[in-house]
Amino acid sequence: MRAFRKGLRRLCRRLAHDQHGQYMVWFLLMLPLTLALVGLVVDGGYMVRGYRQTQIAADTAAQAAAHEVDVARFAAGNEIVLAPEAYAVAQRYATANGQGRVQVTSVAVVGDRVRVVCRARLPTIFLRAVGIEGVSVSVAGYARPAFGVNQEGE
Amino acid sequence: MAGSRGPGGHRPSEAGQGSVELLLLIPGVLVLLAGILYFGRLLYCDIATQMAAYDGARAAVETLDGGRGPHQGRVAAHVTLAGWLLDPDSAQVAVEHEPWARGTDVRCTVRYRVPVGSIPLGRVLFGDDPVVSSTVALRVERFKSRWE
Repeated sequence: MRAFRKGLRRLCRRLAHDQHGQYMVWFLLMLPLTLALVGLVVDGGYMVRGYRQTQIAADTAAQAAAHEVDVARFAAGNEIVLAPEAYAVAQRYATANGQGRVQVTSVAVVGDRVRVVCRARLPTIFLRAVGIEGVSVSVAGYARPAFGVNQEGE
Repeated sequence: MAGSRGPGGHRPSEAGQGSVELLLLIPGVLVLLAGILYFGRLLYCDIATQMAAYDGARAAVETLDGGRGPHQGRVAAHVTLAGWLLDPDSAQVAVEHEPWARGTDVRCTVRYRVPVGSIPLGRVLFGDDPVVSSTVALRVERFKSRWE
């Protein structure tokens, strides 16, 4: 503690007589670098947020699309055939949960699951300064149709 | 002609420039740090409310019992918030729905009051605690009856 106080006193004494102006110069030199880092953090944060939102939109769209199957064929033999309205339903939920900027690019059956692929263009804030207006992301959501009474398949 | 000089060998009028510059810079650096902390916390809580709203909606639509669905949704949203190390008591979870039936829409909305009091200068710079909000819409499962 005594050494800390001594060091602090020495620093104050040095600052009181310092006339070199190095702090301002250093700050101005570091400012562009600092702003670039802040910009990357802010835009990176927004990208993560936008990506999560797009993923949620894709997952909910897949869940909704998985309901739009040919019920008779599904109940008869677990065969998954998408109904014609599957794409429109998927797009409706992707729009509702993606703040209107998520576009469904494909709805397909993959194995025993329905896959919905969504694309969104996420706008940037700081990166606009270097000509990057936005970043496109593409995510896939999956849902497995299932039926049953007391248990799956019953 | 040599004028009077201080202990550091500088003219008295020039002495202490370093401390003046440091005093000028410290507020700017503090505001920058506070802004980064504020933004980070806001973003973290926003993503957490997104996930809580999704989990809430997902849990709610799993049942065909309209009396149970909203409760399941609220519990799931609270559990998700706790998993993100947020205080569920600071959140408001609402599960809205049309008359509960297979295929009907259910919307889970989570509002969370983000505490900024612990951020240095948080109250001074940003005022009251901001509220982040997320809503997720899903439809009640169509092909289920009593199984969970």
